[in-house]
Amino acid sequence: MTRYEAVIGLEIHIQIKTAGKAFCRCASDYNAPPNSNICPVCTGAPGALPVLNDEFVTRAVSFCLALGAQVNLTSSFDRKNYFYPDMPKNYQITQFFTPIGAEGRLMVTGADGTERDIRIERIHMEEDTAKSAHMGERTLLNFNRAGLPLIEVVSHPDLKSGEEAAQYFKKIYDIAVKYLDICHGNMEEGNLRCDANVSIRPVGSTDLFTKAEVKNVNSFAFIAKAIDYEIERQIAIVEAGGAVESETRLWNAKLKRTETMRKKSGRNDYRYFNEPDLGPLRITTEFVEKVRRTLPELPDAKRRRLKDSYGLNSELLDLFVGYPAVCAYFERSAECYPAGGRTIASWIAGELLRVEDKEHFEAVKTPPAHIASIARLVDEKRVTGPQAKELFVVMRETGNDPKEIVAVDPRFQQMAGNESAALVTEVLDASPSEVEKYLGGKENLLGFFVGQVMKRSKGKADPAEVTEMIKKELTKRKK
Amino acid sequence: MTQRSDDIRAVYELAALTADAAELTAMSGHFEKMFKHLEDLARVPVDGVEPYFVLPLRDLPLMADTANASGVEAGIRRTFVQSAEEFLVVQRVVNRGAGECAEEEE
Amino acid sequence: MELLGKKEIYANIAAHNKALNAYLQVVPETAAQGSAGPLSGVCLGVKDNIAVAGLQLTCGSKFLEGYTAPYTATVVDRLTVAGATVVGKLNMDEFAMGSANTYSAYGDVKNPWDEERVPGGSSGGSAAAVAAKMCDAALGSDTGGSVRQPASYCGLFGYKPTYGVLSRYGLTAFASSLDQIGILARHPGDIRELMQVAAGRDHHDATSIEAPSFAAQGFDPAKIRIGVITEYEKSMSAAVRPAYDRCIKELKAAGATIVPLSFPEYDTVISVYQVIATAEASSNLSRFDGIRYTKRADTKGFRETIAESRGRFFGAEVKRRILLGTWVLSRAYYDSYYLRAAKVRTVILNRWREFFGKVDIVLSPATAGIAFKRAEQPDTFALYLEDIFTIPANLTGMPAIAVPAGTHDRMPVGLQLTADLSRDGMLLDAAGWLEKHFMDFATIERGCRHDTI
Repeated sequence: MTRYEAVIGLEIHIQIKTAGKAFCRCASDYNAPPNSNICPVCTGAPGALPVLNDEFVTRAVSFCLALGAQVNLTSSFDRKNYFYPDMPKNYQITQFFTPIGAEGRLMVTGADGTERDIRIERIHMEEDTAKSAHMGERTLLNFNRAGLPLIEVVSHPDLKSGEEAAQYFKKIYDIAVKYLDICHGNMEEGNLRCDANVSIRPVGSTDLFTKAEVKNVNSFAFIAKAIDYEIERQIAIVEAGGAVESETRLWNAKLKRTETMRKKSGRNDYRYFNEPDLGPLRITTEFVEKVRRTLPELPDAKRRRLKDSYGLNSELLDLFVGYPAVCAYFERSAECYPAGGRTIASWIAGELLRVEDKEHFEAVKTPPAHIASIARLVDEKRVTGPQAKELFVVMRETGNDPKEIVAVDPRFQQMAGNESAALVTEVLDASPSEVEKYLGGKENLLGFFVGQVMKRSKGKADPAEVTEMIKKELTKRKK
Repeated sequence: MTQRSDDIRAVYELAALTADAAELTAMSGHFEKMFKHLEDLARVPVDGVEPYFVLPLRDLPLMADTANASGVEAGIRRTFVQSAEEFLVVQRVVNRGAGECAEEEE
Repeated sequence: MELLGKKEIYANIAAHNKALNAYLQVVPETAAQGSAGPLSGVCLGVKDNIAVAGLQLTCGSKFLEGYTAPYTATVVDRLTVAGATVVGKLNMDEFAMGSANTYSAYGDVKNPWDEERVPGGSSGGSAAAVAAKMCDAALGSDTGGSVRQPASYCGLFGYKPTYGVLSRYGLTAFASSLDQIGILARHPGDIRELMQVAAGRDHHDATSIEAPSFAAQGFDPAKIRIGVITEYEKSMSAAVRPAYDRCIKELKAAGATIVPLSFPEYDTVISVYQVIATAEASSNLSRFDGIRYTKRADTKGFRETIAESRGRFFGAEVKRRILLGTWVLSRAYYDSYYLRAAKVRTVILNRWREFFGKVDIVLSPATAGIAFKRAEQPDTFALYLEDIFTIPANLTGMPAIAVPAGTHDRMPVGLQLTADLSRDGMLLDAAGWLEKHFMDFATIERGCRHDTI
């Protein structure tokens, strides 16, 4: 029985945040009333001409750099010719011959836990189409979206599973939306669209076989399911002696399967040729370096640094790398108490995220320094676990620094030394056999004595101080 | 290159044009002549010559990213052949029921 | 600028337009208000492929019947802001494809010199309107000679600027890398005045460039080297030859140095033009699909609607060109045709750059002969050969102007001057010199039958 492996490539379209459109000055807000953000250029009126938006170029270059791609200093603008009602000119301005970015890479973690680079073939700029809404026998067209700037990222077919594809897609999303802030990131509005090319081959083969395209899987929840379903479907066909057809399929979320949308009727001839109204785009190395200097720390670098500096586990790393605002908060907190990184991280991931929204972490009012304070108090055992939880609530309610709260709030007051000393004597007197055992060599009973004192003090004693007192007392009782 | 009758039909389809048999025959004749004439393109030596469209004849000017209303939105909507509440109306674009497949992406 | 005055212009329109069929739409006299400014009082005709908001924009095609332009072309806007008035929209070959104005869906335009003859094309309406004094000057468009050839057939100056000097925003694109708006007028000085207002960079047009200087600099032939292309001699007809020879003689007598030039690729320009122009046109005309703003032939599905609308409402010549353009861009043909033509274009550009290393101006015929009779129109194919002298300036982007050079058989004969990129000012200076010293202007003034003088 031959075993099969999957060969998957993703094409992702990212709508870029700009004030105007890619080739005209119409507002990019397409939620405006229908056909209100339009002009001769984006409606393909006779005599209209495209002019390239400079912010579009800057954002495209920063995205190329973020994916480790080579930025082509000269890139072409080309026309892709085909007829469709949502195409104002019946050609799309794109970059076919020489895209702005080539040969990038993005790391994913495979099923076996190893990290692997997925190669990115090309990154290019193009324009979006109008939006169509089907109503019965009619289609209604709204050109507000026509001409919006898009960046397309095409990977080599290096992905091996639905899970890897979801990882890759999520990473592209995070970079575009959270790190570079060049995309709004609203999936329902189609700010990012993903098409997957899926094929299978016998394990060990390096050939590429007929692929099917799974279109518009625009949800992280479904992308892995859709691709995995498609892989199984293709395997079933081949094992039954059939052949996979070259076609376009759609994911049906209700029935949880992919379905034929259309057969591929041979390769479409788009008659690509240079866009004579624009000509080649030439940018300088100085410009590219200027853009490079504006890049924030990117996910993979951030992950490595956090791991090395704070020794965080992979769940915490996922959180911070996935949510840069949460990470920024963590790092400001860790500045106040560098040795307490792990404790601070678990307080943020645990208690703070129970009451704050990680999607809007910039709005958190609790200063990072206060979380550092709580972490320190816990690490130094100034407060117990349950006390710390209560302290957290008080901190949130009063807005005061936990350091100050424990100094004055009677609930957190520490026992004075003489009171603790009295309790130590009480406990040792009450446990003569344990004392004997301890003095006989069972030194791990120290913890028992400390625990007893803490219990009698209702957590108010200072555990460090008590430990020392008990040790001294026991030494005294050695006779 | 010689042109076969299949080729001309394919070109008509790519160009989204219709033609009856008479027109197709007339056009075929016309294009035979045209392509014969175009053979003289091969006469000029072009080794090492760049195509005109990559020559650095001028810089591509960029436009600053701002949003300005065009002011002609209503005028454009008035040119719509058929409209309904500011939308442009077209016959249903994809007729899935009848098994017709749209030849292009959405 | 010597203006005819609105009253005379409208009188001429009333008297002659029905016969000549130059104007497709005339702005009512009361509505044709100019404004104050350097061009105050100037009455312009505008070719019907250039957008003027509120006026029709048919491009000579049934497909755009009833379409009203929602915006105004930059060039027109600059001229009207400076005081000029738009008097009407002018007839043309459909989508600017033609050399005789016999391919218009709205009827042929007649040559004012002889109504049985063609005015040239595609800016036939523009030429007829200026020659019959139905406007002071007219805007046309020139992709392969569509301003210069009709100017030559109608005894006018017809000028195509350096590519990019006049904004193309608002000019319905035929072949984007070849198109320029051009001006037809009775005097080069008129052209100069219009260019001083209209020329220069437009932020709506990424291919537009800085305006070169249009200040009148004077022209001294003794300081000028005039190039003449030896290969052209055999393509000239007996009608044009005498004017050509006489012009060279006069320039020589005035001290100019005549330099013979060799242009071995001269006869490939038509093929290069055909491939590039039709390729770009096939794409530019895709937007006319029956879906948005053109006439629509309603059928079942959108795909049929597009094909049916285009099939029905495009004229035959337009279809021929769209098909050829589509063909040469198709996958199997792209390398041998489109890419190759683009390379030969570079060869031609380099050749002409060489010329201007040796000369200041190239003198050539504008057309092989005089305006032909409609009944004797050459066949489709032969008609393409009309453009052999005018096409190089479009391929190279260089400025060129057709100048009236006398008559033959009582019909105007034209010659052409071409200059290096951005030397438009000198070109107009040279045309001005010829106007003063060379042309039998009185003959031209008397010759036009629709002249009210």
